[in-house]
Amino acid sequence: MAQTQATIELIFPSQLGYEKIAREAIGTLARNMGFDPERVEDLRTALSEACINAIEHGNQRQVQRRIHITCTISRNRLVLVISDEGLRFHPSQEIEAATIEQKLAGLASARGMGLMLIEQLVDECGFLPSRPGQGNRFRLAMYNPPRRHGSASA
Amino acid sequence: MIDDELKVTTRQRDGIWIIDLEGDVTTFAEEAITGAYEGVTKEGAKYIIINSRQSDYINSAGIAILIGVVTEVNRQAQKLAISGLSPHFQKIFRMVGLAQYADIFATEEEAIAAMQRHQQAAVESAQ
Amino acid sequence: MSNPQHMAPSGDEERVIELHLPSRLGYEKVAMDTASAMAKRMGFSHDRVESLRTAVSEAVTNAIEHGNQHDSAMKVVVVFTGSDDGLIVDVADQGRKLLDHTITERTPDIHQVLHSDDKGGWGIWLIKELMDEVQFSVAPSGGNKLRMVIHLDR
Repeated sequence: MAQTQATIELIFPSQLGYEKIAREAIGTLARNMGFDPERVEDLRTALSEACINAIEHGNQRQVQRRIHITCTISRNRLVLVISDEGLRFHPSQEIEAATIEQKLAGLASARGMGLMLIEQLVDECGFLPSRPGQGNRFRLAMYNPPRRHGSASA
Repeated sequence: MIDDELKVTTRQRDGIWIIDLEGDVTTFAEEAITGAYEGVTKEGAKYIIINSRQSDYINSAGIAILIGVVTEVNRQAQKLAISGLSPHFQKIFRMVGLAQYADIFATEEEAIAAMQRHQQAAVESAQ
Repeated sequence: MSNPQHMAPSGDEERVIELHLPSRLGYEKVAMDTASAMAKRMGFSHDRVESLRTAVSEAVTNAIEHGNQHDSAMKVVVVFTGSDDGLIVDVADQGRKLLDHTITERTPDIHQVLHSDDKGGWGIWLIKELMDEVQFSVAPSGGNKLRMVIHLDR
């Protein structure tokens, strides 16, 4: 379906539950691009977590604030940028990972776990540098075939 | 409008309590899951299986709820297993480290068999 | 399970999902899956969801093929608006070719359609059969806009 580069945009309210619609829409795109079913699942989970962060953190669950997903696809790559209105900014460019021990001790947030999951599920991810007048922009990318970050052989 | 569909039911099989989850496991699942866990604990459950039936959507908030259950299980000296997850969510549970604290099985039958081995071992060590 | 706190009725303008697609066949599947994900969550029956999928597919395909004349740089914009009464789906193209009103009003004869170059009429007839309300207008962008409404039976 994607011979050359194409862009799809999806815009929805900041309410938990809408991330499920986003994962259906983007999951269909990835499937049609020929990603393996397991990698489609990985992308769906990563996208849900990124949307939840944007809804809960970036837009503080204010339903009238919008979440904007821009999906750019080319022959072998799918890139998603999830933008919010930046009512709160993500503290750093670093992804905070929580260990299960911290979780069990009630020390870390589910948000930290979400980001840790995204990092393990996709080939590239991270916050884009903030621009004036814009909120948080979180980018994630998947390649077909996979190109795992940190693996020199790829 | 965007309804979260989760049905939580409990049943007993050979002295093992099973909490069945049918539907989405997200932040909205907290009351239902912890309520079911507290219910079986009140009944004196020592061996508990959380059995997911075709849950197509489990997110980090849902996992956080299960971590809460694991914390309680450790405190109460109960034994917990998780079954019925799709291969994708089995992988996710391993990624977050939940597999270190609860055994994860593909099917309910495998989880039951493992729990019966634990029961047997407990009986033997008591003798 | 419904949680009253999260199910509180919010203004209609807030339950809006907007999807921008390139005019290339295949992308209608993204609109179909977005529509069914939203409709299922709203409580539409399986049959109604299937009808909606077909209607959305026909409308988007029509916008790609007819309105935007397969020019993939042109966008098809699909807006889903949910309310307590049902779901409104607006499909707008950028109108390289405006719809012929005789097409939107007639019931096509299968033999005529099979021998005609313009099969648009068949899709529109199907949409009218499947949906509760259908309206045609000119989009603010100058293209065709098709609005379809599916009611929730309560």
